[in-house]
Amino acid sequence: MKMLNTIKVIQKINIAVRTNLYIYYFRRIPLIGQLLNPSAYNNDSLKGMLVPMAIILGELFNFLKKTAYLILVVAAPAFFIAQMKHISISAVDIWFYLLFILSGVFAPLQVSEVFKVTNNKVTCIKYLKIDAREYTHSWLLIRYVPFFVYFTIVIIGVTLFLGGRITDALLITVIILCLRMAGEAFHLWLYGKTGVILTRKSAINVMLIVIMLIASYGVTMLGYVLPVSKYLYNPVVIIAALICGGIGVYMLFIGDEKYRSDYVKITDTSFLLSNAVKQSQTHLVKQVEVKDKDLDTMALSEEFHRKYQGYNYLHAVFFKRHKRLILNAVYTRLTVVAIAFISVVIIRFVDSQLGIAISQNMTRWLPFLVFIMYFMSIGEKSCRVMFNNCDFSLLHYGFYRNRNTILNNFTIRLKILSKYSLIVPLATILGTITFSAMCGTPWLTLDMLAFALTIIILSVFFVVHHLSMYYLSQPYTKELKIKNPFFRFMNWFIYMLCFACLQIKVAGMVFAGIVMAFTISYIAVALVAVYRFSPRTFRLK
Amino acid sequence: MMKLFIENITKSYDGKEVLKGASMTFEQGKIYGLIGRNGAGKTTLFNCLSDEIKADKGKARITDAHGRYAHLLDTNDIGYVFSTPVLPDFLTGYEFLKFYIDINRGSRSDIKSIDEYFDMVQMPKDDRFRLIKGYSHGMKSKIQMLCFIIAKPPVILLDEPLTAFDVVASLEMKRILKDMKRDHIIIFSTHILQLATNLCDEIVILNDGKLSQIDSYMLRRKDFEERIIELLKDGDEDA
Repeated sequence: MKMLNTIKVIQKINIAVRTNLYIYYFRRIPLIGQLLNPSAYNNDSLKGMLVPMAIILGELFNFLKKTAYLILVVAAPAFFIAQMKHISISAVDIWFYLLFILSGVFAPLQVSEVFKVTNNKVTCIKYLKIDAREYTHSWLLIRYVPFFVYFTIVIIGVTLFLGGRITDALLITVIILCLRMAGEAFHLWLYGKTGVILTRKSAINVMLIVIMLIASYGVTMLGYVLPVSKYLYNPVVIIAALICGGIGVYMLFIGDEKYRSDYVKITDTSFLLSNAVKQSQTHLVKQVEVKDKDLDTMALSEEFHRKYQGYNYLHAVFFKRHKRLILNAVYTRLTVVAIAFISVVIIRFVDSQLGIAISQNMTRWLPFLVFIMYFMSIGEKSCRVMFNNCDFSLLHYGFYRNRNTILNNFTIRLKILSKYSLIVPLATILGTITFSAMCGTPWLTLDMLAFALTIIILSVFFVVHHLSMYYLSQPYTKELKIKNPFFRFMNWFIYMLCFACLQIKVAGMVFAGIVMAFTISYIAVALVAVYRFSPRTFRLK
Repeated sequence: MMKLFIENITKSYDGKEVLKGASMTFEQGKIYGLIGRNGAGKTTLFNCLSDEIKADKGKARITDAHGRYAHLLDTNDIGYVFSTPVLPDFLTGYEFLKFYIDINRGSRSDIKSIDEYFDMVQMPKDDRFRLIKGYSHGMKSKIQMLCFIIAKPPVILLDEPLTAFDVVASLEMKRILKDMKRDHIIIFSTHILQLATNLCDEIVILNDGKLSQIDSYMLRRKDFEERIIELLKDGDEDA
């Protein structure tokens, strides 16, 4: 009776959350979303109407999830592997083998409903003070009863489709359920003995996934499977499975009394899925965060303080303290250029004919270089660094949002970043000219001039593109997530243009001319747009 | 005398009207305490005035020193001290002040040295050369206060400003605000009624999205706190 009440509470909370989610997502639909005002969350009759929908959709979703898993992960691979020429095993045998390995052997090791942390669990145990043992028992029933029902239906369906017997399907479902119970109990036992929660050990989990993939699909594709269906009627197998399941159920529901003392681990909120997602989002901020070693305050001399004033001073200190984040990217790219140069020089000495041929065709690589330079640009990363470490705080102040200030800062940054961006193309040009001279190829040509000019303009172009898009859309949130569709579209557009360059077979003056015309026009338009619109667009989200 | 007119400012979030035509006139030489319950819209009002967010309707105008030629309130007219200070972490306190003094040098002739400003807020010498990244909430608030002491904008908005200060710094800040009020319009929001009675010349209540000024004689009444609480409760019930 007590357990029944707990199940009711759990389900009520789940349904309440789901109905609120329906309202939340409905309100986010453009145009019609506004038909529902925020008081809808408090509208009992509306929510009453949503309850049956929440129950039906919830179960339907659960069923479809299990069906999708069994069909896409187990049945479809079994079907396709059976079609392979060198495979002489029937699809139904592969299906049973994969099902046994994936759902009966590895899933019990990788899934633990006891230690899985959900919002519902935290709410019930931590805040509503429901007994942890009582909750876990109810939760196991809520999870595993539908699991058994839905698995039985889908497994029977697939088995019949693949030409198997209904009894085989029933037996394997029971065995899988027994193994899942044993698995749950194993996690509990392991925790009791060692304090280790297996599902929270990411290295072990990765290892298990690799072994699972080899033992399931890998072994099957080599033509070896354990004839599972043959053993299904073996009394030893059935009894062993039932004993495992029985011990599991006993430990979960009767034997283990420690849920109450272990509830802290069971409800550790750092293992909530939403928290894990949040943590993964902070990596964007971490990438551009300054470290203490970057911030050597003693490094700035009196002369430095005297030399720079106002916004020039702000940027001088900023770029000095963010050298590692911005210039390291330049150094990495320089290393790539140096390696490429050394490689062609070695080729020149090993095979002089090939070396000469390369030197004569250097400028033909221009279309390829356009694409490479897109990735080599430091513009995008610099914008993230500037937003996270400088603009996010200063944009709170009116003086920093002033039209003249925004444009002045844009100009300062454009100059500094263009200067940094020129290092790599200049090294590339120097390398190309040196190599041509080494090979005796004439380098003082119109082709080389066009090549040099194009990559210099391209490097400035990418900086202008990233910086102007930053000023025209300021797409970042505090967590550095991008919230602006225009920003995304423009980046995609430029990427596609650069990618399209890869398809161009003919380089030379014409290509260089087109690239220069486009980039110069783009730079001009972007600068005009920044000067016109950025005082309105360069704001915090 | 300089005047600030707030005229019919409205602001809604997600269909909920937070400011419902807030209007009020503020005068130079006074410290106004803006009092309202949690979520009443005090920060929203400040954000609208400082152009942090756009108001749906309404405007704010400010006159010249003689109470004439009212023009729309500009970001340069405002100094805003946030309840949670945000400053660029990569600078030291000294460097930030140098930068801030530099950008205000053109518009102000009475600028002091960096150390004089630090002395005003009793910032220890060592801390001046430490990165803001490592500053406490109170230290960051001091730097924010120094911003308006340097720039001397006509309107100074302070959002819960003194709660982060220790008693000594708080007393010093109060003294600075009292010294400055002659040339400025100072509005600060607070929950602490004792602070309001202590420091303010006028009390403005933000209730149900509207501003109302209460008689200044109430500040001296013994039952000031009870009366304010009653007013806030009444407004809540009316709403």
